[in-house]
Amino acid sequence: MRRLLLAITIALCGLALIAGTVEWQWRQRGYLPGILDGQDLWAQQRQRVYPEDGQQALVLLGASRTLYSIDLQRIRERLPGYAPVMLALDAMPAMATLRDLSADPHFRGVVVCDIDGIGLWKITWESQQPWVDHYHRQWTPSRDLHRRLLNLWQQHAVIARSDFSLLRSLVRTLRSEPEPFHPHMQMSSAREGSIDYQGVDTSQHRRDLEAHLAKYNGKFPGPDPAVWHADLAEAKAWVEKIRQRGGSVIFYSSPISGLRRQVEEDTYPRAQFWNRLAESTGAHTLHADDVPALKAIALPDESHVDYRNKRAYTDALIDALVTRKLL
Amino acid sequence: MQFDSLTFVVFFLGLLALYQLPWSWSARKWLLLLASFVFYGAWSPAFLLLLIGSASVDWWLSLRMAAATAPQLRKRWLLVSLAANLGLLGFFKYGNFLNRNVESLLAAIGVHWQAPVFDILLPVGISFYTFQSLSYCIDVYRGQVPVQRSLRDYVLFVAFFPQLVAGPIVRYSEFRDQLEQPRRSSADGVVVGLSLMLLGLFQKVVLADTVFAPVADTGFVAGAAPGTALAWSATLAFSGQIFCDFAGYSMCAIGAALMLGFHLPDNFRSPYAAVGFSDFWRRWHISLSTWLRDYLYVPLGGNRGSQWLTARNLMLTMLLGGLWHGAAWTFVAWGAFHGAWLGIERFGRRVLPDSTLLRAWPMRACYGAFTLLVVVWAWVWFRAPDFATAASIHGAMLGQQQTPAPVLSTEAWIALASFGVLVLAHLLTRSFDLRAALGRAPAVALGLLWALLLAAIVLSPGAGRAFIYFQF
Repeated sequence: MRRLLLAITIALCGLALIAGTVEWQWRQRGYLPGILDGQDLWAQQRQRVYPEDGQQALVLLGASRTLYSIDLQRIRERLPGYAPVMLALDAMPAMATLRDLSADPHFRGVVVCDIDGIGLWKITWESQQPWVDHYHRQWTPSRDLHRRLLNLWQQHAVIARSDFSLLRSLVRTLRSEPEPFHPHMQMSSAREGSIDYQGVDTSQHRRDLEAHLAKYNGKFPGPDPAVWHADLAEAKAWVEKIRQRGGSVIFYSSPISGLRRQVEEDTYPRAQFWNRLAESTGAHTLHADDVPALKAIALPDESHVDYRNKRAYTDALIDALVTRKLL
Repeated sequence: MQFDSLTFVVFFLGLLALYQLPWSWSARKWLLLLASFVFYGAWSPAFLLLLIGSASVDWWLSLRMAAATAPQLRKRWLLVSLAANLGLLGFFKYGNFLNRNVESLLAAIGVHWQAPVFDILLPVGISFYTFQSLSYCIDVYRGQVPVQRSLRDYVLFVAFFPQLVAGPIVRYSEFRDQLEQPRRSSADGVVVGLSLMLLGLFQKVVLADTVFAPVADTGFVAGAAPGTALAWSATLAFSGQIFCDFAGYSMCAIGAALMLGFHLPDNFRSPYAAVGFSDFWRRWHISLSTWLRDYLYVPLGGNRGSQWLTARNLMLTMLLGGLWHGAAWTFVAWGAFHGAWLGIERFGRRVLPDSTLLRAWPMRACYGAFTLLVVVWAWVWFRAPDFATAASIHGAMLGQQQTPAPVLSTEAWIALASFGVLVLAHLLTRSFDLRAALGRAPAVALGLLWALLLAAIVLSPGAGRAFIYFQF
């Protein structure tokens, strides 16, 4: 027994010394701990769409614009009857998740689905399906506990990030590469993202979009409006199912500016696409262009909100939804 | 619940604490059974019912077998057990595979029938626990083990959580005494068990998931046409990944059991240092290869008939062994390739004179290197998603791809170096008794070893991949 206790003591001291030294060394260079997004974290939020205590779930679907722009605490403060759940996924349109919620007989919440023309085009509908499958096939209470403990670890330890793993450090040393970027994005365990645009070269986003656009001779190929609307008949059934259970669906076009806006207007002219969306899907719609307060929000990279403006943006969105009696 | 999850840490520490309480052996067996159910039910409560149902049926059939005096009746009960176990495995694991093949076969003769595709989830560990349960029924039929009259003890034998989902496949004869005699955690058992668990987790988390898997994944992409360097690096990286993943799991299983006072058999003994193919199969997934030997190869006739019959038996055993790993023809090809080399080796032993030259170390070294090369070559079928990808990778390994040779990434060089170290470690530990060495190690050395292993694990945060053998 003495041998065991001595070995355990040495092991724990050694671990604390090694891991503590590495942690201290990264913190000295200004790195901070942070939650890493993933399928388990998403599934952990997905299981929260059935709130109790008389609340109704307010499910936020969409891609990065919603993931990094919404202040969940502000929603809790201003809409106490709703439990906000963030299911937006970076760079992935949300139709697969909307379909999944409609097929879930226990879901009775309100869905605010931030989406644009391409996100409603059927060819992108399956983008989030792997996350949906993960929730239904892999997610268990055991994974939930693991993820909760991992959240705690990631919230407190810089070394929980794979950028600082032994292998990555070795690779950087062998390649004489600089240290990892100081991330300008943060994520919370409730999947609320934040972007700090201070010191970020936002013109790079525009240059990337220009380069991408140049490949298509200045205009992205878009769908035939008739086909685009006809495909949405399927989504109309999803919306109806949610409505029958006491919930609702609001398709929301979030603010964009500059070249991004020009591209959207060229490829999906509002008159032909968005303006007929309510009719095609039976859902409520809200376009940021119709809300001066949303239009006025600064968009450093033409589509996302700096974390300092999240509260104002969330207020503007809540006001618009409440004013139109959508909440 | 995976060994490399934080949930398991909480679960196992809680179990160890409860296990130390001064309860009767019977109560502690109930505790182990409950813990095993929690461990397995963490994946799927529905499949836990399947596991309990399957084990209960075999337990009942074994009682009927033991009660029957007429040989015909005993045989009938055995056939029911075989049908139940293989039927279960067939339905969950091979149903869609069978349908697809019947559809292709009918299409070949001009009959167009669209096979239904069942959305069936494979219950984790089903291949392992059905084989374990089946071996017990066959042993009872043969009169090699006494029947277990306690349902609880029998279900605990099948469902004992350390080995439940990915082996080692334990024989009842190895476990029976351990069920009868009260077990306790001992300080020495915890020392060795904890060491094995940390070594296993190091292999899984640091080597398999972090070092090898990303490099293997870059080469094994369906439809890709990798160059020679990429094909070799991906294949060698997968050779490292599959060993560290599976042997890592087995080591964790053996370690966890040892900490509870149970002894599970070794499943790997430095397989990449094997000299010859029969030697490889005495060192790789030992509990499966001995299972296939005792319950398939020997009943087929083993080596008791002519050379051709022996070769046939070997090939059939390896074909089915390949199919056991997965419902795809690529696994069958992998098994067939190994079967062919086992046959060739057997033939070679017969025709070549048993000279001292052949037994000299340079010849053995050459043959060992050749064995490793063939084993690595065969892993391509095991890992590739289809034959076209496997052919593309094999072609690239032979330099047949016309794509420009890419410069290997730093990660690939690290994986190759790690594989080299792994092979060297196997060579150095060919006849090494790890458990005995850990049992004798001084506390300071153990403490330092544990600290280094723990630090490497903590400093390798990653994707948290499932163990490869879970899908089998």
